[in-house]
Amino acid sequence: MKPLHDIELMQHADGELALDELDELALAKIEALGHLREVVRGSAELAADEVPDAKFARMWGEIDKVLDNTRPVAVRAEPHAPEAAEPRGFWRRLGGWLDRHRGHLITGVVSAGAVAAVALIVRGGNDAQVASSGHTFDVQPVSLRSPVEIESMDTPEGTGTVLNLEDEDGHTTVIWVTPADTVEGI
Amino acid sequence: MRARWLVAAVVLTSSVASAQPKDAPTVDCELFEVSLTTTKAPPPLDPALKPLEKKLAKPPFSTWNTATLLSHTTKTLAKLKNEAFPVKVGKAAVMFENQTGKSQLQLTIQVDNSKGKRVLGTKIVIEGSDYFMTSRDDGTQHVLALTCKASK
Repeated sequence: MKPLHDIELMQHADGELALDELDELALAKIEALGHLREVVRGSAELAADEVPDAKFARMWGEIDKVLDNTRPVAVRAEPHAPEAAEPRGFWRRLGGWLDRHRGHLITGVVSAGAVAAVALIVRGGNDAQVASSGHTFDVQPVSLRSPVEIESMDTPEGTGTVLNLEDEDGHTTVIWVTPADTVEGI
Repeated sequence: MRARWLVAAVVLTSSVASAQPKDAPTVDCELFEVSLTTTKAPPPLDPALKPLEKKLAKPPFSTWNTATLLSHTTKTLAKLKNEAFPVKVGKAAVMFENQTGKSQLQLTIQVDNSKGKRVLGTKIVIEGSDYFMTSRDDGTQHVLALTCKASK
């Protein structure tokens, strides 16, 4: 059997040349070629994936360079009429800034909108707070008013007695504090 | 990247600030400080005490025949802000906790005596324009009368 050259084996591996009989050495070389092809392909794909990031980094670098160069040039271009050019320059700079930071502004507005929506949802869950924020407060007629409700009472220096007085003006709740050292109460 | 986050933070802050209620609820509170004594010739009631006249004429306040107004303070209370009321004897502070329903206010009231000791700490729910009173012996019979209603 005639010994095969490496170039013939590579053509066979690429499907360009048909070889009928292959010895063990040739098969091993073809398998090794396959592994090498996979390595090269993977490396190329990784390089391709990195291209956008590199491109963006280059773009930002160029933008920063332009920004750095713009200010001194503007000052040099209009050294004799700074006051007349001020309003136009300001608006132009503002417009340019808005153009350059459009993405930032959109990010901010979307974030703020999301937070505001969450705040509204959370605030909407509490009926009492809604009533408060709506600022609807009624003074009930005397006949419809409820007596004062005492949720907690602490009288460290004595004892507290709760009294309710009623008249045509409404309810009056009294907490009468008697000092602890008083023998006779009210 | 830093500029982007800076802009986002500024817009976010302004948005959250604008999300707060513009007409945050407040209440107007009136505190009367009264001293009760007994005299042989009681003077006519101070006109400033007219809102308390009927209450002071009932027991146990009617035990004393002379009511002297020590101080009268009106304050607007913001929600959850403890407000000290200037009084002649001891200290008094009121906090507007919350509005309950359409006509009731939840208040926290703290009273210290002339020696600086806490004599009352209470949390109440009271109808707007109704009165809450507390009384104790602090040299003379000392009375605090509080009424609150929503600010207009």
